[in-house]
Amino acid sequence: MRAVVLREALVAARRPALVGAAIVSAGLLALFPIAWGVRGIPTLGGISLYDQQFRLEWVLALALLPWTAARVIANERGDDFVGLSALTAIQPSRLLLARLLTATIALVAVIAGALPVVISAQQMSAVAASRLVADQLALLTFALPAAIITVWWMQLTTDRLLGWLGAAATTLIVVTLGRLSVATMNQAAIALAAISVCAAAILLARADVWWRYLSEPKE
Amino acid sequence: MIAISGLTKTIEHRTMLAGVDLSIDRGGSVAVSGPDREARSTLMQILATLVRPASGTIVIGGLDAVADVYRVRRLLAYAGPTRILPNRLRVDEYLRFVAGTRHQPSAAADIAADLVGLKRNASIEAIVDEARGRLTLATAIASSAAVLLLDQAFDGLDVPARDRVCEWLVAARHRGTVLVVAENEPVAGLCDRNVALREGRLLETSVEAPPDRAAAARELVRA
Repeated sequence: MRAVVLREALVAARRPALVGAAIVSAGLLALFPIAWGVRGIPTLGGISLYDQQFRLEWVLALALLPWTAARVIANERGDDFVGLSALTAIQPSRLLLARLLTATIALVAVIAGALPVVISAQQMSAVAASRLVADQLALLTFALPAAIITVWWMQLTTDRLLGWLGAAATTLIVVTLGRLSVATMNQAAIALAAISVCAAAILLARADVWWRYLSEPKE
Repeated sequence: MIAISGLTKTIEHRTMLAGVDLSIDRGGSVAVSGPDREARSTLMQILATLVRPASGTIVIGGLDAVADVYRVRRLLAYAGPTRILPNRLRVDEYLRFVAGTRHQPSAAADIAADLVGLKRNASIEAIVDEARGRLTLATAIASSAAVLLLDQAFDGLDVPARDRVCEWLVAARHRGTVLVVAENEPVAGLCDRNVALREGRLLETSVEAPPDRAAAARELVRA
């Protein structure tokens, strides 16, 4: 299991998408106060720069996290995934668990990369540190559903582009539904994380059956 | 170590295997030849637990290969026409990963790369398709499994690499490894039994290993 996690981590670290997403996320958040000043966008009902930037952070997370996850996970799907299981003599569920862990850590790294920019906005807006911690923990929690949804899609489709589009659309839908169901984005993130853990459990429970043998042409 | 009985398989209305029986003891080796490459590959993939048989029983190391797929896979290493995706990894990284999953030291990966004549630090992406075949063979060697299933695995090897691999395989047999090799023509001196797959059935003839390769193998074992 250790060897598989290390390999997945190495594959993720080698993809330019990981560093690229972290730079784009932190860069756009840093540009926000430069473009709009310390009061932020005046038409947004007088909410602080930190709150405006936090909204932008969520938008960036929705746009970037499924794409990053789709780009950084290893390529084996379908028959290649069965072949990997046979090669390593490791059950598909364990291979997938390693992939989910690595994807989640990669997405956490993308979100955490923007923390210095977010902290400076919190300082400029004189927002309580406890609020910053709660907001960022919720956003970091969102890495889990984003990773699980993307890994699900990437396993079920043979085409990477289709997998990413499916994951992005599903993430957007579940976040919208989550936001409509609960009072705040932070609560929605925690609810989504709980639901996605159940989804991951279903995927892992079925993986050893779904990816046991190579696909065969229908008779 | 391996006991196959009444194995059948039909793919797209074509009978690939029509009641295959085969038994191989620990340290035994069988060369599977015959004109139908697809049928040979099907047999090898069923043995590798990659394809489910239509009927029949396969027992490997005392375990049912259909009911206990994942435990049986720990005993096997398969080198055949499967894809290896580069994932931006180097040859040594990939082989060490495989060796690591099989609880083998990194040295096993380095030895495997040297045997098949692959540069350890070469990027998998950069090596041509033929060399990727060699990488597949190297993964089987690096895994040091109890049963090695080699399906057309010698195709991409040059003569020196082929000799090195054959010597390593014969030495592995002396350590108890079971060898099943599917090739168009049996590799001389590698296996002690030769079976031909014709019309879905195995026909058996015995082959003796030439003394020079067997002696070289014994030297390797002693070393």
